[in-house]
Amino acid sequence: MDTLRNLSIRSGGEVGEKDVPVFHSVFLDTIKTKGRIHELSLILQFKSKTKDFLKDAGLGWKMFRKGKIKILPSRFGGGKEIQEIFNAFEKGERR
Amino acid sequence: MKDISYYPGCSLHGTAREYDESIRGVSNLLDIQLHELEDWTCCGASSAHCTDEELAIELAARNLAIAEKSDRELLVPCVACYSRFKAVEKEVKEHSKKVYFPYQGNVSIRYALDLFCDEAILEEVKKKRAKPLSGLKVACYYGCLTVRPPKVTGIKEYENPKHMDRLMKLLGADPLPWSYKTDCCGASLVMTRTDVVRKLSGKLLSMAKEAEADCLVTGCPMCHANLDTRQDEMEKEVGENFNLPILYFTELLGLALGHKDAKKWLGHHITDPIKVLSAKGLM
Repeated sequence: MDTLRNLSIRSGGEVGEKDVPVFHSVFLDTIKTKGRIHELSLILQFKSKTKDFLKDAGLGWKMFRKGKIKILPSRFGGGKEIQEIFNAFEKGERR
Repeated sequence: MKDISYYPGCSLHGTAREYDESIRGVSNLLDIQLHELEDWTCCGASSAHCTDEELAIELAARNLAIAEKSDRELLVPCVACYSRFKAVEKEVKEHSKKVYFPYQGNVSIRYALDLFCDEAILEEVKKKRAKPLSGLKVACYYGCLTVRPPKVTGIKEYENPKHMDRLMKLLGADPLPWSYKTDCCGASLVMTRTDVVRKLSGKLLSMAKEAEADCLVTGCPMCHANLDTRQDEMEKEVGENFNLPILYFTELLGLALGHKDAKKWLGHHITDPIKVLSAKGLM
């Protein structure tokens, strides 16, 4: 199934679920820039692409009050190596 | 004292903080010393393998290469991370896949539920159990990736897994028979096709209620979020009242071992578990 998804993305064809590839792209972009997924950054970036700002706003507030939303991303050094991996793939040097 | 490397994964530093806190808490009580992998990064789940399999392999392999620097086993609490690590292990060991970071396939990758069901640890649990979870009826939910695909996980009982049931029984709880142990909750579709998650997770809640469960137990942060946080939305859709607490198996383990922070972990849930546990005299 993943192979078919990979091929579909590479071929650049139209997809039935337009938000799904947007989510994957934002997710990978978050890894590339931060090394780890910071959920709040991921959600805000995804919403900025889909323009659906109100969806889950109430749930987000509930989760924040329960201490489940981390405001700031973790600080660590491994992100640099991750950027190297992404850069190599984007330049086509790996595959 | 058992020493083990620990890869928490991104969720456990965010929405699944109670899973992280309870794993650390029970490990401490069971004389397991966790060594968090230095400088770990995201394993890529769930988006990398859907987008570019090669990239997905490299993202996971970087962490395995760090783990391989020591001889310790690697404890992985998130099943999505676990599944990716096991997939990369298979690529490297069985298909001689060459990866950028120096990983040779020599790390023993242990999913948290499997580790806490090891005979030696169960013996320790038996000795240290301070408060049996008597009268608590639990639906053990394994989800998809804990056991599948069996060629990757190596689990023999993948149709009807029972190891979490055995652990719950040892803690004094009453694990119920039900048919939805390994059905999907909708997983990472929660952001993009929330309607699918509501339908699949709603069915799980409905079936667990039909089995007369007091709570549902899981070891997956994604399943936990899907089942715990949207019960009111699912109730509106199906016209059924759920109010079913979703607990990490480590939280119940901590409760049975008498960990002082158990109430604090449970305070992070959206669907309140404290009422049910108090009514059973367990808190």
